[in-house]
Amino acid sequence: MSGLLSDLWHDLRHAAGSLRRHAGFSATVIVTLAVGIGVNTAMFSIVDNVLLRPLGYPESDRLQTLTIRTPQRSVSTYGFGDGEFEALARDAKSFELMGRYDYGGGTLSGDGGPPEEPTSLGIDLGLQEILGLTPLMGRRFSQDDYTDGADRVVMLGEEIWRRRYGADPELVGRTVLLDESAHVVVGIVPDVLRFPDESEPIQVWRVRRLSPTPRMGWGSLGVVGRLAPGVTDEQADSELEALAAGMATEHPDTNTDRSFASQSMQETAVGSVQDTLFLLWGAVGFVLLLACMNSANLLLARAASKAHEFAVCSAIGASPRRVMQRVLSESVLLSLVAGLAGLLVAQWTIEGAALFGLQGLPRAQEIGLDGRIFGFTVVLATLAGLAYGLLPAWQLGRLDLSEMMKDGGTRVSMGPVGQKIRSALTIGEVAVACVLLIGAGLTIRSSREIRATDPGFDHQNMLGLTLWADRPRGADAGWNERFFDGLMERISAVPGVETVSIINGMPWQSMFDYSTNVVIADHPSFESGEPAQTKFRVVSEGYLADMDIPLLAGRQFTTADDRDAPAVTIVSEELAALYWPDTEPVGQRIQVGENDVEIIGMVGGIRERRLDREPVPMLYFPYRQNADIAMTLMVRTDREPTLVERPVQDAIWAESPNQGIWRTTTLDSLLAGTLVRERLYSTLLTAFALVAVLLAATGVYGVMSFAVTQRTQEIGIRMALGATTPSVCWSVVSGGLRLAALGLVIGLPIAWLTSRWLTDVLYQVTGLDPVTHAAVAVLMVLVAGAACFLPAWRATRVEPAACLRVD
Amino acid sequence: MSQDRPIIQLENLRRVFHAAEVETHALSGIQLSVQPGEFLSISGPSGSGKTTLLSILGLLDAPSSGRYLLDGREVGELRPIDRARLRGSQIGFIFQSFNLIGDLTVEDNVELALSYQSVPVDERRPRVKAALERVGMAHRARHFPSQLSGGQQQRVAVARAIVGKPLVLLADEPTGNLDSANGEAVIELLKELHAEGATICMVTHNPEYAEMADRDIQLFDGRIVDESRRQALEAVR
Repeated sequence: MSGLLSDLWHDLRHAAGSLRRHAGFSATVIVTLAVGIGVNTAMFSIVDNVLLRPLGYPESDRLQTLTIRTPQRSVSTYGFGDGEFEALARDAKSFELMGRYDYGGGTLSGDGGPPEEPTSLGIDLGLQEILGLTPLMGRRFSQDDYTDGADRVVMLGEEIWRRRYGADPELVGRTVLLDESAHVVVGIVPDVLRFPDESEPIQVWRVRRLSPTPRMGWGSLGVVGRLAPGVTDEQADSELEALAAGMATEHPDTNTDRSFASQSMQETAVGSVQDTLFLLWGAVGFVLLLACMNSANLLLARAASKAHEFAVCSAIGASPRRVMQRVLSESVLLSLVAGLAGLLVAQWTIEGAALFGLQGLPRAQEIGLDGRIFGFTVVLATLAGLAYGLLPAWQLGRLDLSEMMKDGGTRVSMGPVGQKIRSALTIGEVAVACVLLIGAGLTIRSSREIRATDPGFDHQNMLGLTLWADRPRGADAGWNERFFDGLMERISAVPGVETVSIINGMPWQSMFDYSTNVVIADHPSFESGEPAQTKFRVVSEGYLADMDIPLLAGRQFTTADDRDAPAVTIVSEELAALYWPDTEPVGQRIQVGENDVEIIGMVGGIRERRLDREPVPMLYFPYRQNADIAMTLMVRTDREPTLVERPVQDAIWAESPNQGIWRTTTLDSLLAGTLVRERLYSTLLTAFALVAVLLAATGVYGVMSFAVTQRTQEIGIRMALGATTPSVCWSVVSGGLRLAALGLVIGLPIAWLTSRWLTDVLYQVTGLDPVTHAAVAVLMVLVAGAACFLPAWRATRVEPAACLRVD
Repeated sequence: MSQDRPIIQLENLRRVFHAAEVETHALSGIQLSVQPGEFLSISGPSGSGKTTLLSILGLLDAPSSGRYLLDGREVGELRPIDRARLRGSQIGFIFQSFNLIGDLTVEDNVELALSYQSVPVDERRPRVKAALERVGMAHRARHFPSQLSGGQQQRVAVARAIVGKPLVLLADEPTGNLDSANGEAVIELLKELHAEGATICMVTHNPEYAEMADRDIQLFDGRIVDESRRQALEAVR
C-alpha cells in the first residue's frame, strides 16, 4: 500500500511539475473545467439547500402537512375547522404531536411609527414544539398564555423587531398595540425560522386558541403533525382517511366528500420547484459533460505531443497501468485545481442568479457554499478528472513501443486513432450543445409567449393597498361600506390618482383565493343537487371598468346594488360558457349558499393566478352587498404608481389614523413575481447553453487547429501543385462544418427526445417546435464555421517552399 | 543468474509484420546466445532487422515465432504487463537520442526507473546518487536535461539504465547523436561497465566501436550473417 501511495505521490509530483511548465495548456483546461464544475457546484448548492437538506426543524423527516381533499378543490393545506383539528389531534394515533396555525391580520400601532399590518401567524403549543421554536430573547408561549383571562401576548419576528423597534432588547416584557389592544411581547423569534412557506419570516406570532364552539367543515386552520416513530406516510393517510369518513358520517352537512391526507412538510415547502430544479441540474450536467469532452480533447492533443515521453517511461519499465495512472494524475490534478476555481464560479453563478429571481425560491436564504458543497466539488472534480483523463490514458497506455527503436526513438505517435477520437469528441460536443441550446431556446420562447399573453385586464399604473379594516366591535352591517367609501373618497383627491376601486383579493396575489358553493336550479349539471365550488370576488361598482375588464353583456354594478337591493352577480365568460353555452347568461338565476342571485352581466375572463393559466370561471359580487373587512384598494394612477404610494397611505391614515396597511404593491410587481421563476429558469438555462456553445466552438477550433498543424506539409504540397487560397480555406472550414453537421445529426434527435421533459414547463410551445430546432441548427453551423476561421486563415498562410523543405 | 547458461538465448526467432496485404519478414530464424558479462555488438545496413532485434531483446516487442529465453526464462509470449515488469527490472536501455524526460530533473529521471520497479522510497535516493556518481553526473542532479550537453545527457541516460541493476544493457547507437569526443567518453563508460561485469548488447554503425566488443554480429535481411558470408559481403562493398 505504501508503495502504491508513494508511486501515486511520485506521479502527482511529476504531473504537477509538468503542468506548471506548460502553463498555457494547464490554464486552458482549468478554465474549461472550472466553468463546468462551477455551474454544477452552484446548481448542487441550490438543489441541496432547497430540496435535499432536511428542513431545519427537529425530526423534520417525520413532519407532515395535513391536507384536505374535496371533489371540487384539488388539495388544500388550509381550511381545517377548529372542530376537525380538535378531533384529529385527539384521535389520530399515527401522529405523536399535532400543531395548528392560521394567518391573521392585525394592525401594529401606538409606538410612534406608522400603523402597520404585519404578517401574522397564530399558533398553538403543539406547533411551537414541532417547529422547535426558540426565541432570540425572552420566552416561548406557555400553557398559561392559552388560558381564558390570561394577558394577551405576542412574539415578534426579528425583522420587525430590528426595523420598527431598533432591536431594542428592552422590548421584551413591554406592550405593543395590536388592533388597538395591548399585547405583551414575550419573545423575539429569529428570522431563520420561515414557517410555513419557507420564504418570508413571520413578523408577529400570536396565540391561537380553539374556538369555544369548534366548527366542523371549512375553517381557517393549517395543521402540521409529527408522525409517531415507525409510522409510514401510507399508514397515516389511511388513518386520516378513516377519521375523515367518520366525520362525514357524523357531520354530513359539513364534512360530506371531505377527505384528509398528509404529505411531507418538505414536499409542501419545496415540491412546486422540485421538477424544474432537477431539470436545471440535468442541464448543468450536460455543461460538465461538455467541459470534460473539451478537456479530453485538449489532453489528447497534448498526449499526441507527449507520446514519446510516455513511450520512454514504458521502455524503462512503466506498466500500462502505471502510464495510465500518470496520465490520470495529471487530469485529476488539473480537475482539482479547476474545482477550487469552480467554487468561485459557483459563488458568482449564485450571486448572478440572485439578480434574476433566485430569492423567489423557497429556502433561498439557505443557498450558499459550505463544507458539504466543498466536499461535493472535490468529489465531482475527482470524478471529472478521471472521466476526461480516461481516453488519453487508455491511448497512451497502449503505445506501440517498437517505434521507440526507430530513428533514435523519436517517432512514437498515437497514430490516426487519436485524431479520430478527437473528432468524435467534437461531434459529441456539438451534439450536447445542440441539446442544451434547444432546451434553452424552447424555454425562452415559452417565456416570451407567457409575457405576451393578455391577462384580460390593464395592469399598468395600478397600485394595490391591502388592509384589514379596524372594524369596531358591535358595528352595524353597513360599517364596512362606509369605511371603505370614506377611504376611496380621500384617495380620489390625491394628485395623480385617476380612479379608486375595491376588490377582496387582487389578481396575482396568491394569498387571497375565495370560492363558494353554487347551485343552478333545473340545470343538467346540478341534477344530483350537489353544489359546484366556484371562485368569486367581491368588487366595488367601478372595479371592472377601472381594470378595463370588458363588459360583454348586461350591465355593471351600481351604487344601487346595495344590501336593500336584490342580490346580483356578474359572471365571467368562462362561467357562462360552462353553464349556458347556448343561451344568454344575463337574467339567469343561481343559488349561492342560501341566496338566490340574479346574473346581471357577463365580463371577459382574466388570468388572475398566472399568465400561463387559463382564466377560470368567476363570479363577481357587489361589495355593497358583501363587503368584508379584508379588502384591497385598487388605485389607478396617471404616473408611476410608487410615486403616489406615500400620499395614498397618508390619505388612508387621514381618514383612519390607526389603520394598518398590510401590503402596498403594484400589479406590475405582482406580475413580475409570478414570472420570477420562469425568468430564473430561462436565464439559467440560457447561460448554461451559451457556455455549452462556447465550449463546443472551442472544441471545433481545437480540432481544426490541430488538424491544420498536422496537415501543414500536405497543405504546402497542395499549394505547390496549384491549390488556391479559397480552396485551402474551404478544405479546413468544410472539415469543421462536417463535424458540426454530424453533431447536429446526433444532437437533434436527442434534443427531440429530451425536450419532452420540458413539456410541463413550456407554455404555448411544443418540445418539437420546428422554429427553435431550425434556429439552433443554423446557429451551430454558423458557430462551427466561425470557429474554423482562424485555423483556415492559418492554413492559407502556409509557405509551400518552407513546408517542402521539412523533409 | 547462472554462470553456465546464457543470459539471452534466441532460438529460430522470427518477426513478421503485416501491413495491408503485405507480409514483411523483419527477422528470420535468428539463433543467438549471449553469455553473462559479454559485450555484444550488433551491426548491419538499414532495414537489416537491428531495430526489430533490439526491440525484441528489450521486450518492447514480441516475436512472431521461436523462443526467447531471458536468463533461462521463456519471455517471448509474456503479457504486456509482465513484459513491462520484466523490462523494468532486467533491461537497461540507452537510446541514441537519450530520451530523458524534459520535465524532470536529472535525479528524477534516474529515479523514474526505480519507481517503476516499486523500489522503496528510502532506497531510491542513495541508489540514484550512486548511479549518477558512477557516470560522473552527481553534480548536475538538480539540473533539467535542457541544461545539459548531449554527452552529459547520454551519461545521465546510462545512469538511468544502470540504476535498476539490470541483467542486460541494451544500447541503441549510443554515440549516434554525439560528437566524437563525447562519443568516445560514452564508449569508455560502457567499457568500464563491461569490465565491472555488465552484459551489454550495442547496436552501432561505427566499426571501431563494434571491434571493441567481445563479439560482433551482423544482420542482413533479417538474418545473422555467418563469418564467411560476412567477409564476402564486405568484399563486395
